Amino acid sequence: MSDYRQVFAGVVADILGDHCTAERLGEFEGGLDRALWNKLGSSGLTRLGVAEEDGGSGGSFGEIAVLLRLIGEHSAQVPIAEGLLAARLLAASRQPLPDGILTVGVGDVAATRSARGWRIEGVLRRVAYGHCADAVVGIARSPEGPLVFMVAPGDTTIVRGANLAREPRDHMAIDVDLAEAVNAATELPAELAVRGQVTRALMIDGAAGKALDLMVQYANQREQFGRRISAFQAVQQQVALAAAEVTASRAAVDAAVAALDRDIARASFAADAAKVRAGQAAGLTAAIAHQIHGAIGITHEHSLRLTTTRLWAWREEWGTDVQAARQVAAAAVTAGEQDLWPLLVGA
Amino acid sequence: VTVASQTRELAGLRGEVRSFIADALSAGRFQPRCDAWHAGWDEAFSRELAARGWIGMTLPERYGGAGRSPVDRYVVVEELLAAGAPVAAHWAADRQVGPSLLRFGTEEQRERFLPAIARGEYFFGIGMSEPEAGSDLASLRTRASRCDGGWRVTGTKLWVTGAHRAHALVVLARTSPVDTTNRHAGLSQFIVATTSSGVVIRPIRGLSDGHPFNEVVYDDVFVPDDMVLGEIGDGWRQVTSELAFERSGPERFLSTYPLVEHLVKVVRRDGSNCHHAAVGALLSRLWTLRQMSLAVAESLAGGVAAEIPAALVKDLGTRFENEVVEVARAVLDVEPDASSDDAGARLLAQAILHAPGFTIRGGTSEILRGVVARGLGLR
Repeated sequence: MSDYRQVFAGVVADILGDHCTAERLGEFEGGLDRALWNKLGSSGLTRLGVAEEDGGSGGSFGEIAVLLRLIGEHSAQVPIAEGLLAARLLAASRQPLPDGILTVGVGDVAATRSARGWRIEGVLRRVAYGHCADAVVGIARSPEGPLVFMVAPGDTTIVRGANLAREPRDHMAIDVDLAEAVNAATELPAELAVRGQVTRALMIDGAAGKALDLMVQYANQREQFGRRISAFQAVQQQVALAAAEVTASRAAVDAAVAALDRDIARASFAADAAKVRAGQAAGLTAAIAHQIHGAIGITHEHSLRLTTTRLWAWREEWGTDVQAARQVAAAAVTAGEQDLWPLLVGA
Repeated sequence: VTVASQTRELAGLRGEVRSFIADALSAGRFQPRCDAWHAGWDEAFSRELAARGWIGMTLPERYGGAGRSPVDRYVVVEELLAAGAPVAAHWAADRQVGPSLLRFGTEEQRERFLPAIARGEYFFGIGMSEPEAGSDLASLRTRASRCDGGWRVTGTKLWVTGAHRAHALVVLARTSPVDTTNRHAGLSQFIVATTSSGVVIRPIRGLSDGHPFNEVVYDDVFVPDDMVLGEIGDGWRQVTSELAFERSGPERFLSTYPLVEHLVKVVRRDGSNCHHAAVGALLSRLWTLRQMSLAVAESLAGGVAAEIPAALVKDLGTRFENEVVEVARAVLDVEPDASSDDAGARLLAQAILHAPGFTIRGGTSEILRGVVARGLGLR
């Protein structure tokens, strides 16, 4: 990491460390930590990756990567990944960024011309922190191509839901007339899918690293049979397997971030493969973390669950693991007989 | 500009290797096989590679090398491995002995061996493990004792790949009694011609046909002083200094790649997507391993130590090579048969019979995980 990135990571880690204490995580579980969002906002972090002339705070996907890994590591209860994706959609369609909590939704939404401007109808599925947000941004199909729209949650019909970590994931039915909605480039929905996958893979990566830290710490402190359990080779071997998973996930996600920064139009294979690999790491790391912690780790009081429930939930978000794996295979099969290896090495 | 021109240069090199392989395949020069870096011995093929500057390519030009970077070598090697090309003859000389001679050898040794290695005319075997010293290498019993003008080596080495066809062997032996406070002290490396009097090479049959492995018995073999490699007593440091390089290379996850290529071909022709989830999961692991392995190669090229990342690549990579077998079994639905005309049955047989060795050679998975656990501070 460059010196600048290290300083940046330090600043973000300080903010998250202050807010994501066991006490506060318990207090806001199932909802949103608005004070944390405000703090991130006042530091410019909720508008990262959007150019300054578009009302953002600049920065590349590399800075977003640093931020999202830390969000995953700290189990932060804010829709920052979705907020950044929403801000990017607005900027890409030349719409001003509003104040307040932003999230993004995907689903099945259609737009038709109306007297006022556009009639937007459809449903957004499992929107992160939907009912807690001040505005939800989405993309609707229209006869004139993809259309970026923004609605207030109050103007939608909400059915609340949650993922395994009790993070809000709400269905939002939309049937509104909007004056402002803007046509955007046809590749925007595909780009959103790629960015969404990589943001989630980054959060998984951060959480998997946290699970590894927790198991190392616990193994070095827990005593059984008169010695620390870290002295047992059976324990050491399991922790080493988890470390391998975390390292693999990191390498995969780093490569996807680099691919995305190079050329998003050619990044979908890397994004799919990284999401799959991070998802594999999520499952195995969570399982080993629990096995090392023993029965105490599966209690509600123990903070391990904050990390492992996120690992289990996140691997299926922005497309399930299986969908991403099928896309990887489809790319391999679509490639010509001589083109599998070039696809894998990207050259 | 520099990065762009480097990328262009690498792409050019990759293209040259690919067209060489395509020509060799269409001329029927080799049949792609699993584990070809260990079992595919073809001296003429090695010489053809050497003629293009692809053996010993990181060696300086004054020793017959191409003076290329480790990343250039990585590209050439991964292309050859992905093709299942027969690279076993020069493998040990190219990967280990050449760099080791360059680093620890005398000027005379470098001038004598390196150009011959780079021409693809001189092959080495490496003798480390013994009947009573496997994972615990420091307990080895082969001894070298001082004599007039050199050393006399006595002992038995096992699993010496290609010794029966190699020109010389690099052997690790104890040169002073065991120091119980530092078991790694008192070991030294020697270069021994396979024709030396007292060297007896016997085949060790493995699970498949062919015999890459040998037992090599040294019965009071004379080694002149000028064939000591590096410093007497410094053998442990010398052999472990190249470990990160050995454990992180593309050969640690591509041994069964020809089977991957084949199973994807079968899925492509089949037209159904019922295996897509499993195949996609497998390819994602492979794509990731290559990112990890390349990152270690780049660290090492930049002089950064990478013992733990290298151990992780080997553990994950060799497990992946085994996972390929399971996915291939599900996709191909065929009986493995090493002598079959059907490429799937043949590659599957090769992969199954070679797979148990993957997680043993070059450091067992359990030893590697021990290295990783110590790195994490578990004791």
